Amino acid sequence: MTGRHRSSQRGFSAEFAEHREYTAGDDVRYVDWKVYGRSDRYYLKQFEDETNFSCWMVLDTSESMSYRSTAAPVSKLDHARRAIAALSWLVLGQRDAVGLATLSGALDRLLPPSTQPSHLDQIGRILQETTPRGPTALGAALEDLATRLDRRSLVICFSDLFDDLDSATAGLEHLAWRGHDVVVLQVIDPAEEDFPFEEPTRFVGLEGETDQVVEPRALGEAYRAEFQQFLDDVSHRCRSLHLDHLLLRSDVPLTVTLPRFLEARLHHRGRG
Amino acid sequence: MLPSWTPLAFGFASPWLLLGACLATIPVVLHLLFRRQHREEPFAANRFLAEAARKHSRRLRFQHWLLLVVRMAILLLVAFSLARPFVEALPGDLDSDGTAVHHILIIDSSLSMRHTAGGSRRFDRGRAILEKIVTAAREGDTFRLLTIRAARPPVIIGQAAGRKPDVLAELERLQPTWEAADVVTALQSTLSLLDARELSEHQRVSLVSDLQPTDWQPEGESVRSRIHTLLAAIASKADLVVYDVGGSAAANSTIVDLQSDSPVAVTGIPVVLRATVKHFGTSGAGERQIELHVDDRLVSRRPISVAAGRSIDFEWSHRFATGGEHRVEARLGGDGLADDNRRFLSLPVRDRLQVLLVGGRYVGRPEDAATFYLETALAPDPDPARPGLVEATTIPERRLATEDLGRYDCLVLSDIGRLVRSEADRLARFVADGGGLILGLGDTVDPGSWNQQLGNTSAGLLPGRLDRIVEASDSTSGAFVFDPGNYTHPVLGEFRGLADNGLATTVTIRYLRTRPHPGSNVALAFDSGDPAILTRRMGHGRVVLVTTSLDDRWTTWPVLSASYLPMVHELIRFAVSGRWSARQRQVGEPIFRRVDATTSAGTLTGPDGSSHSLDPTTPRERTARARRAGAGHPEKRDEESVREIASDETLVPGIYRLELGPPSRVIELFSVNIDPAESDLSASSPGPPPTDLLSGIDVPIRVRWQPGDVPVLSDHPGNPLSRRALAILLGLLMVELIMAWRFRVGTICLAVLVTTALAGWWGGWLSGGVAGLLAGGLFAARDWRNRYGRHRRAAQTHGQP
Repeated sequence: MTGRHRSSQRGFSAEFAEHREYTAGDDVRYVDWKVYGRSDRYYLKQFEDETNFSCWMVLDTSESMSYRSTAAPVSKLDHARRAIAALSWLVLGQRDAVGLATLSGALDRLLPPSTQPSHLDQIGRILQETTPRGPTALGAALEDLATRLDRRSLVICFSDLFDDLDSATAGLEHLAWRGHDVVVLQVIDPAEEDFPFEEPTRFVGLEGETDQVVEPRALGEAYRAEFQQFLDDVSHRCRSLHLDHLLLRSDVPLTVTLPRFLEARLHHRGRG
Repeated sequence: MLPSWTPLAFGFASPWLLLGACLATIPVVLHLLFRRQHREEPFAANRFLAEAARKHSRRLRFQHWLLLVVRMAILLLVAFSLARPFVEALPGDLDSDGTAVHHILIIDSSLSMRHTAGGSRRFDRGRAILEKIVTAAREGDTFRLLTIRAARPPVIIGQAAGRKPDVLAELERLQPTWEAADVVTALQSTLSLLDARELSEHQRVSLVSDLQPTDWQPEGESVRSRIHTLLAAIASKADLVVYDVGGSAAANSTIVDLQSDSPVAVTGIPVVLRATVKHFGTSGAGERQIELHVDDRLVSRRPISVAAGRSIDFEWSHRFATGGEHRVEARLGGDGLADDNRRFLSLPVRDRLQVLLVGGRYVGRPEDAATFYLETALAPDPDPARPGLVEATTIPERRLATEDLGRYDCLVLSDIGRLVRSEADRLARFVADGGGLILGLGDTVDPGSWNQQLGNTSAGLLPGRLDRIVEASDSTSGAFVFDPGNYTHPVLGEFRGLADNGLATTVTIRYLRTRPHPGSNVALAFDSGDPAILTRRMGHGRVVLVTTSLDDRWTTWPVLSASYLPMVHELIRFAVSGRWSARQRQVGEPIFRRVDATTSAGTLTGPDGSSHSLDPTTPRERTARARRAGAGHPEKRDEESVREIASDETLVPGIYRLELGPPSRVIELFSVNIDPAESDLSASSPGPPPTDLLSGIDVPIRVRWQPGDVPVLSDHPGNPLSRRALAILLGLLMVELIMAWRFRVGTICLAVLVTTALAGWWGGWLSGGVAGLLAGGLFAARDWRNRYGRHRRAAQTHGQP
């Protein structure tokens, strides 16, 4: 898988990049003697390092990801599935390797990365077979995943993060500590953020939480503040771990959010 | 704005409407019924919902309770407002600025204030109110006192009195009268007293009355308008406080009239006595007893039952065995207003009615005499079992100047040619004293002399001006007949409903066209439109003018018509009835009688046994005396030679005995009755007082009284509790809507509403509005600071700038 993306590290491999003047301390093996012969000056040859890019798609398949409000065209899980499929297609199209991990209460399915175009079919099949179940235990599953990944990779985590945030943050931190480039794409339903309910409602939890009988007009404002505080907290934690964090609202088309994500990633790499 | 009163109690004018307060349970019931009927919704972010609920549970519970309270308060206020609440209070500390107050106290002392309910009279309740006002007044306050009555001037204390004991003693002496209420005079006097004071002085008019509609809202538009104007003028100069002591609806029955069917009572001839009983009220009066007493002897007792708002006539046929003055009284069983359950009638009874026939023409044959047909018509029945009503005496014209007219009840002049001045004066005095005069015309009559002597002089006896003789030959029909019209005049009462009464078939070939004077009535007319019979009152008597002849010279009436004989009797009855009606008086009217020059004195004995000596006076003396007393005289005469004895205004209903003499000893009875309008208590019922009485007038306090309660209750028409409650109700409805939309905004609005209501209650609407705006601003600022501060703290916690 060469050519479609630039490595974050510039090295000395087969692909010539540019010359630069020699300075004291440079490795004399990379002095271009032909240029010296023509110009009587020492120039070093520099090459672009074309690495074998590896990307892991991590999908949270807990029950909370199955939520779909009336305002959303798909559930959070379906939205994440589509995003994973799209990104996997992109990665494989660059002849890079992409792998898939699904997790809910624990690490569930693990499809190692591969650069084979047919790998996309396997990813799709797993995504199709995956059903939401159980409560979220993101922290333990990510810890488990971190121990299994031996090669530094780009890890894109699709989850609503409706979990113990400290535990989830620990898992993400472990991945980052292992040298992985971790991206958190937090999938939420528009109703979770906007809370558009009006009538007195009994809200039934999807992961075994206690039912809440609520007068939305009275509690709506407090809920929205609470949820916004949660989003702010997630964003703050990701920023402190130098992780990229992006919200994926299930009512916003991926054609809008994914280009924005890729552009942000490109910009991020350019700075790095 | 509420004055700083001392509240005593709290009540409702329509307490049964408080049952509507049960509606306040509706929100609670709805809450309990629908609390388990929430729809279910799967939700992934329940943990945040639970956290928000945990953090805000107290606030949410508070919101729920507050919203529930607001909704219950809305329903409670609906019932509260409809029940028309009032505050009972004492006006003891009306003035907070410490300035002295000039009090003008007015108490209605008319008959209706004698009504008793709950063990006390309206008057006593009203007096108690005024006594409390005096007692609670500050040192330095001054008082004047007026009453509302008809017979006497209303001012009791004319000079401002500062000593409370004196004022209280004067109040203690006041008693309700049997009189009607002269509201206009009392209000005019009040206004005069107000105008006499310094403008800078603080004045308060406390008016106590039962606000009886017949007095305060009379049917006459001009009087009603005058009362309203006077009240408005008083309210513009002083604080007008109206205390309504009318209380609950009072049904009342009374005898509104007692009359004999015939104005002439003759011994041995039955007379029908008719009493009219009316029931004022909205419910039946039940069965009661009515009694007839003649000369203080019970002669009849009957049960009666009068439906609400109806009146019934009761008749007794009574035969007087002896002549003279008789007293008749009808009594009704007791009710809340016992003072109007008696009606009196003084009835002079004659052995016979003495009628003097004066003929202007007498020739040889009796039937040619002008009085021939009159004598025949008045001739006594030959049957001794049916004694005649009339005893007629016939004299020639020349004896008119010397005949003792005082012996007669009625004079009939038939075809008298001319009258001299002295004769006209004698006739005028005779009529003024209550005698009846019937004038018949004929060929001998000189219209010019009649107009001059009987029409233009001070006598003014003629009901119309005699013009010229109208001949039947001048008309197209060749004869005139009577046109009785609708038989409205009393002399035609006997003919009403009789198809062949003979009036329409009487042929008249000649009459004297007469133009009626103002005040005269046309009893019967010809088909030509000219009057045939004219009547008028003069003094206590009545004059009847027949414009054709009373014999057969000008008409076939005495010869061919069956109506002649009854008509002659009816004319005599009508003419002499003035003597009887002159004996009937209303409370407040004086008793007066003309006397001849020989009468030196009179004594009037009232029904309460009090006796007063009366001296004969001339009109000039009476006018001067009335002017000194500050009251007008009911009748003004120009004749200086006429002497009268007159009493002061009668104050007590009953039979008055007037004894004249010496030298001759004459005893006459006069009946004095109350004004039946004062008996109408039905309309002075609880509920809003007459709306147009006080409309547009800033009357700050109106006090209502209810049986069994302390009789000082206040309501504020300018600021009534119910109106305030409705205003708050409207505000709460708005607040509830806003709370449902944005609870925080609704809470601010509620705070503004409560602050405005409280501040408005104690300090007026302006203060309330300012306080409400301030409260709203403070709450909004506090809310904004809380919200802004929370965001800032949250941003700082998250490390955001």
